[in-house]
Amino acid sequence: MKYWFAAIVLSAFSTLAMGQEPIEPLPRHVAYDPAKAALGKKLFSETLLSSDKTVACATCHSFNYGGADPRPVSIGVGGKTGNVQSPTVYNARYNFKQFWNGRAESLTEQASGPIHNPVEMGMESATVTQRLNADPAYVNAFAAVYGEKGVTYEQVIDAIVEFEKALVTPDSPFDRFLRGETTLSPLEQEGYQRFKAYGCITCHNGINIGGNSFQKMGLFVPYEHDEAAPDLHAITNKRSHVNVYKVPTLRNIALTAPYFHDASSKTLTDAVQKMSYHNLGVELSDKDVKAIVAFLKTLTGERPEVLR
Amino acid sequence: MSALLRQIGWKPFLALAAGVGSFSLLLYFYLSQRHVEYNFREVRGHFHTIDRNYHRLNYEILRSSLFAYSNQDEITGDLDTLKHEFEALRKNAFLQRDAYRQSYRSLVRLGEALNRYETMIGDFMMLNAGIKNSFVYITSLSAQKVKLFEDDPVTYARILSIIAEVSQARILFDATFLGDLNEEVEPLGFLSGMSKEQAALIRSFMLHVHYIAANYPGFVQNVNRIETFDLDRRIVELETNFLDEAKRDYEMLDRFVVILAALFLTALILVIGLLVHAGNENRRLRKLEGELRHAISHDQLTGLLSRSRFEQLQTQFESPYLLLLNLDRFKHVNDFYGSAAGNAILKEIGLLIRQPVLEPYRPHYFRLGGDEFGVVLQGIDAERARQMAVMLKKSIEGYTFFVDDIEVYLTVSVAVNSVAPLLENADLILKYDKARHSEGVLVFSEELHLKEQAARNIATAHELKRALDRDAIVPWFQPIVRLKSGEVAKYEALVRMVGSDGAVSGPAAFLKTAMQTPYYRRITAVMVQKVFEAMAGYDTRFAINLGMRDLADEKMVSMLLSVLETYKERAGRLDIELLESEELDDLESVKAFIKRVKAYGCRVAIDDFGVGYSNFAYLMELDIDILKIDGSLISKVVGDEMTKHTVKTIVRFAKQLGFEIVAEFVEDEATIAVLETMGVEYGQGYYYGHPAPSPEGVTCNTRS
Repeated sequence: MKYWFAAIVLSAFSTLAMGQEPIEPLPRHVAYDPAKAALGKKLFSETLLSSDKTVACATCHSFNYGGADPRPVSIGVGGKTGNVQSPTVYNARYNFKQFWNGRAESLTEQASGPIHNPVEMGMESATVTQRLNADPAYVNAFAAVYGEKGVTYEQVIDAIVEFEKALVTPDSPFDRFLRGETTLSPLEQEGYQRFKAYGCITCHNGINIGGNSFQKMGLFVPYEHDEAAPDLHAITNKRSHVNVYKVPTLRNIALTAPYFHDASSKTLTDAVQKMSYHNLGVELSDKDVKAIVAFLKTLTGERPEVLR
Repeated sequence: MSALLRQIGWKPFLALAAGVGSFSLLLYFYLSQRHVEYNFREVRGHFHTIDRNYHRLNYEILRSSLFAYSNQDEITGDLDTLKHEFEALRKNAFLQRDAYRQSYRSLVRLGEALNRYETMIGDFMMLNAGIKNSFVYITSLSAQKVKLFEDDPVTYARILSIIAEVSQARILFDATFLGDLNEEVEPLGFLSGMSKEQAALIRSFMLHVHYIAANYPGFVQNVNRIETFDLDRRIVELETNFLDEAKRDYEMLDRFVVILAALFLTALILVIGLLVHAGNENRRLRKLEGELRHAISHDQLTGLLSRSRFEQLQTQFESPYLLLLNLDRFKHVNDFYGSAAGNAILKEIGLLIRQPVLEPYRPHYFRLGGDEFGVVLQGIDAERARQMAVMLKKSIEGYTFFVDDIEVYLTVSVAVNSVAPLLENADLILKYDKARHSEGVLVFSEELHLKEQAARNIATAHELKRALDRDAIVPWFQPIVRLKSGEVAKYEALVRMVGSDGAVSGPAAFLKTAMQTPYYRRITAVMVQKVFEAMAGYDTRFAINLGMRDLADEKMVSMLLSVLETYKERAGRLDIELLESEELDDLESVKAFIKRVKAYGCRVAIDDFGVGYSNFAYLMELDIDILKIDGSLISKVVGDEMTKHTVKTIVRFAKQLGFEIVAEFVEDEATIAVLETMGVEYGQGYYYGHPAPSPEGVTCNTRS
């Protein structure tokens, strides 16, 4: 009788049956303007863009650390520190909004942020163009791409954005698995299954495995809130938006430690455990964590074409 | 030019302007309409995208709330498109126009609704994650771990009952089925006596049940709100308003286009009509001109080329010889047998001179005057030309003319000349010849003529100088009369020279010589001055004569203008009669002159029209008022049908161009009658009065 009852309950949940796979592989090639991207690549590492000429975009978005910053918080001009961990610049074009709290709608909007931020690069637009126009190499390079005399700030941002659009990391083992080109190991397979069963997939889905919604950190078990943290509440001022952040991408997650906006996890294992506790309301067994971590490691893609 | 403009009139230009104007407007409105249509499509395109995305989004949200796994990229993507399309509409300049005020208001309301909708979706995304996770958790729990409590039937049943309740609420999407979950799950919280594994399970189970109890009602409400949200209504409202306003907009433009098209067509038809009319008019005038040209270039009586034709042709001849034939004492034949007989004889001579032996020399045959015939031969030598002259003389003199069976014989003098000016020199020989009574053929030789002429010139020049010094150059006056009433319309001043012996000579005696000397200008100046002086005390108009060639003479012109300036108030009563001259190559200066004297109120006449140059083309180009028909035509207008025809043609033509017409040499009432029937208004001649030293001295013949 008891099993019969359980059977009814089980069959009732058949409506929750899975549709298609909710994760999409990255395209192998993305369209971008190579000339602009080459210029943007140069600018991305250009310390002239910071007030004391010590910081570049690449300072906080290291290509060797999955496009993110290995330091808990980035250090800007004059040694000033920020209050949030740098998110990865890889695959950023697939995020629905930019920054942890989504305050920028587009990459173009985003690119200016750090340049003007007094803690990060601390520059005026005019100073940027003034410095670049003083450098004949840049003047020529811009003229070759944009066909006008004189570098403008819009061109600078445009080139950087074009470069960022090219920062896509295709052909991760998982992408190849989704395309049927390879198989996952039993442990990785198990990890993906757990990932779905425990509900990680609810937020980490889509082409960027995240990056397409806001969620509360500490959905089931409250997570400590730092008043200074740049959460969605800082923008909307709604009580329900306290500790709400953009769900980060899980692509290249093995490379982008430390984790979370507050860099509170240094290892993947710790991050998975923390996440499942606070946001799924479950305490995972070591076996489950191991499997999920194995799965997460299959999300590391190839270095973007533009960097090769 | 102005005559030409007068002819065409202003109507075609007005019609043309209206046509061009309405066409431009038509084009403008057509383009506006295209613009409206283009924008209309674009805006509707945005509507459709918004509508489509909105419905897909709703579907995605439902799907996401039902399926455990869903790709939220679809939701964010659709929402993004929705916002993007809305922004595009908001920035669309078309919708910001006054005509679309209603639509823009709807658009703003749609924007507000869209913001609320976005907020609801944000809430949904956050709630949905937790709700789904809890349900998934509970599912997996039931499947595997509830067995842990098989030994504790109470707890076991309680867990299953809660799961059943939760799942029923989930299936029915109704939070009321949850009952008082919190209270039901509370007893499970007594964890004592449980294994560590059981306790952990219960903790998680309670966590999720609490979460569902706390959030599911809100979630259901949220989803219901999204699904019943009125964004749809806003879209429809916007679309309805937009369609209404666009229709109005379009209809207005449509009406404009129809009106303008009608206007354009009307203008077009008007232009075509006027052009056709102008074309007919032109053809008619050209035909008239052709007739006139033939009448002028051919002698009506003999059919030979006319004197005016000779003037035209003489520059085109190649080394020509002119044989000038003058019938001796022909006047006597006329007087004796009557002019009808004379004319018949002249006709016959016209045929006689066309000798086949002349054919090789490309002959042209002219009747140059009353009894003067000319034969121009080309490519002939002097001796042969003389022989031909002798041959012609013999053939005419040997011919027997009959007048009513009476035999008439004629003698003829022939001059042969190849030295320019052809006619003048030939004429000279004839006179020379006759003066010496040496009948026959005489060939012109340079010395023959020049010596005598030079002597004559010098004598005349001396005489002129003396006359000027003695103030003996005076105007005589001849009246020009209105044919109908006989009243004097004006006086024409004619130059006279009073000799020291008191004899008065006319211009023929001295003017030709004067033209070669500086005295000519002085004579003109004296004449103009004296005419103006004479004008005091009269209120009729006065006319003076000028050669067209004089008008290219700047000194002459400035002299004339300064006199006009001096007598400004009388200048309005002055007519200037222009005499055609053979070489009129500076038409522009004539035009300029006419324009300047017209500024003083002077009127301009063409004198002696019908002989000489008589070119109608330039007549149309000059802004003249009066045409004086040459006396030689008028004197023959009674009795000679051909002449009558010619004059009639000239009058018709002149009237067509709006000229006032004056006939010269009006000498009898019969002529007046004929002229009146033709519509000639003014006459001048001995019938009305001979030239006299003062206007009062004129004897005037008025009809009562």
